[in-house]
Amino acid sequence: MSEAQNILDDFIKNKLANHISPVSAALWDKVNANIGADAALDSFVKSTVNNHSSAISNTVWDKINTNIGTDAALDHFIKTSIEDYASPVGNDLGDRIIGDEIIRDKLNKYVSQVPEGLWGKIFPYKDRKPTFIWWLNDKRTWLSAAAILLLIVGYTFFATVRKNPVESKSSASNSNESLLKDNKVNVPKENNILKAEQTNSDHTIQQNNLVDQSSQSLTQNNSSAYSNHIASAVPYIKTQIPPFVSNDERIVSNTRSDNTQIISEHNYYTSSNNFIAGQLIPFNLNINDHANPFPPINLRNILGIGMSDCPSVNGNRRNDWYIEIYGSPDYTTKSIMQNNASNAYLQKIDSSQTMYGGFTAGVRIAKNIGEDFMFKAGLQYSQANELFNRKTVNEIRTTTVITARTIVRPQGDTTISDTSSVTQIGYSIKKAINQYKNIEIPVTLGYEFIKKDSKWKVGLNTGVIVNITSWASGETLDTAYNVVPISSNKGSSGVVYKTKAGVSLYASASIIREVNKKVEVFAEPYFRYGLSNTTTDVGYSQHFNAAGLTFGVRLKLNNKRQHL
Amino acid sequence: MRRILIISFIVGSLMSCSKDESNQFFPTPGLGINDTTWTPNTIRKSFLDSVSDAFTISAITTSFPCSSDKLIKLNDSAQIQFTPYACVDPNTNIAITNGNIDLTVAPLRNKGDYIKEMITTTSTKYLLLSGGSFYVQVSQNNNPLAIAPTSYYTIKWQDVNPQSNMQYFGLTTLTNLDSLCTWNTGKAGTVSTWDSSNYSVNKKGYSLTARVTGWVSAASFLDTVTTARTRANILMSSANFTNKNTLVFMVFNNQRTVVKLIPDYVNRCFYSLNIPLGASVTLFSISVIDGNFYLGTKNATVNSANPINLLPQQSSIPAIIAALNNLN
Repeated sequence: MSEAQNILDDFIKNKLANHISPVSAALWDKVNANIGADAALDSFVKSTVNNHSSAISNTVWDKINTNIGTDAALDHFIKTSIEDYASPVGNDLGDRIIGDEIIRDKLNKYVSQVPEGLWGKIFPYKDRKPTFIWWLNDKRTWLSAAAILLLIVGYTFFATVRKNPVESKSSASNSNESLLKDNKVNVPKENNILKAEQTNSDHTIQQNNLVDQSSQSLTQNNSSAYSNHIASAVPYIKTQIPPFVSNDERIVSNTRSDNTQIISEHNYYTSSNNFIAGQLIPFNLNINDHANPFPPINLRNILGIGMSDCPSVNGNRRNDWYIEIYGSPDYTTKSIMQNNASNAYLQKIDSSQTMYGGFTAGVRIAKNIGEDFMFKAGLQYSQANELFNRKTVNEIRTTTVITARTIVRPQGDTTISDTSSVTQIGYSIKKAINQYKNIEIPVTLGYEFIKKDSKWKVGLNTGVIVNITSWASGETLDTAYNVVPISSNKGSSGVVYKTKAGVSLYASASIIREVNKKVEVFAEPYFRYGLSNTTTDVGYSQHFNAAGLTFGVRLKLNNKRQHL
Repeated sequence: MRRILIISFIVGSLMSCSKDESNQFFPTPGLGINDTTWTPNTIRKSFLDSVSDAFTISAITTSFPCSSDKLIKLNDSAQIQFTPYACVDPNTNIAITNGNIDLTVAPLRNKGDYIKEMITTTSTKYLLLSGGSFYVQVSQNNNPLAIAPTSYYTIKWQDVNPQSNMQYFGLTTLTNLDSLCTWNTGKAGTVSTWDSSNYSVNKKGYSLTARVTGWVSAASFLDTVTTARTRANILMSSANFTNKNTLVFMVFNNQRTVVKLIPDYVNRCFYSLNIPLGASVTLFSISVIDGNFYLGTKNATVNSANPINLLPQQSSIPAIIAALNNLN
């Protein structure tokens, strides 16, 4: 191609590139008459306008607005066109909503009624107080009771503070105000497009959240068909709208029965602000991301453990309190260590005394720490029995005998009862049950292996048993091999035992079976090792150990999982 | 749930029940002290021998010419005199005409001596008041001799209040060891009293003349016709003392009467008939159990057949002898 020809082509291209030539009326008639019938024309139109975008004129919108709902073809067209349509939300939309002063002002004055029955479900847990039986009236007992009471009161107080943001959302506008301020809600003023449409101030938030300028006209049409289209196009709307439509609707949709779900409702509340023009907008408005001046008080907080394991959002966590009533037959052993007693004496002691079992019974409070750990403390009574068996030879025993006799008299025979004695020499076997009784405080920490949807649990426990008081009765041998009583009274003769047996180590494994939601039964083989001497200065020291199988019933005091 | 609680309560209750302490006694078999049974049989001879061997009286032994008729002084208050050639061989009845005769005389000086010799003052079931009893034995070369039918001997002893109704009694050993022996009257001897007050010697006593050796006595029956009597029953306050190991005597305090009580197997007691009502007595028991001696003494007044309890205590032979010597 010659250079002159190229120059001509470029000139014509530049001149005609943006040239628009009006179409004659006859041409449109020809196109209208032949389109759909002339394949060449159809192909030409299709290839030409396939990707063509053209602004819709106001007249077109007027036509649509006029005919929608009455023109089936138009309705079908719109439905098929926007049925699966998803429009991305603008990056600045969230900021604009947060900065909207209208929304902020409305929320400040917003009062939401508490769903019926909600308080009734909350207060029973507030009013529930543990019951304890204290029968030892000494200073330590009252101090312990005061400490436990302080813990209960503190727990109740902080638990109440923790619940207030949810409960006051419906009862005090000030709380809502602070809540929103804390979350820095800032909705731009230019978004207040539906002010004229507001007939109920309670609906302001909803309407602001659901429509924008382009959808305003559709909402104003109030067409049922259109509502169906919207519902099908934006399936989340129906499930998320109810808390903000009316009180009645909230009640219907509110199937929650505890405060845990109430806090979830708060999540609905915040996330529902994310709807703009039927689109679900990610909106991380989370009140727990901010510092709470009153963090929930629980054992994890008290013990300072597991805080990093807490969910950052309001999740359901195990918060179980149990009361356990238990008893066990015990196999008891005793270890004797020589101090200054003679070997012969210790041999006599050892040969004359045999442990004879025992039992333990008590009640304890159990509280979970986290999902799997269990802290237990309580009060128990334990008794170790010992068989004292002593054979004595050449023992002289005198027994009183009453004999009926017939006496011959001149006046006639008569029968009399005569009291006499009989002395015998032989050997005696003296048996006595020595009893070592204790009142103790068991404190254990356990781990429970919980399998979901299983009624069986297995646990491992360890801890200490602190003796409060002990007393003993029975018989033993003194250094002269005489049988003497054992006692816990310092002034009594014989061998004196301590009134405080000290501390024992405790380890156990437990098998727990759920009977129902509130009751569990368990079996717990255990071993305890005595660390302290139980005798006074009698020439030897004595320690008691025990192994047993505890059977018990565990009653769940709160049958709920709670938000911590 | 309720069932679990009930079961737990029951188990706990059962476990809390402690067995009562026991103190079992096992008597050593073979020990006499543990044998509290009475025997329907008579007293064992071994038991009697053990008592007899423990308590003996002092006998007076001397010798005199077989032809002598001189008085032989036994002690300050008694003397004996044989007629010449009074002794004969008991087998041949031939008089001893040569040599000396060995004489043994054992007087029962007090009531304790009766008990030592286990001799009572009873004639069968009747009580006797004894004026004095003697055991006389003559022998030559350790061969017992007898008194010739035509000869005799006379024992004369002092007594502060000799009774005129005294008779001669000779002792007969019984085959029933429960009763041991009995005194019988007979014609083998006579008893008389003597009084030397007329000779400015204030002495009185009995004189017994007998033709037999052995136990002889001057005694009289207690009044069993006009005096009210009763059966005396003695109960041992300890069942350890039975008729197997115990002898019980009733010693009259104001007269020389010693009664050995008879075991009553049926009623487990010791008794004696014909005890005068109101009699003041001393009960005296000797028991031997497993070689140990027991002594029981008690002063009592027999007012009825109601049993009188006696509780022996372990004692010793010397202590018992001393107690017997005090039974005047």
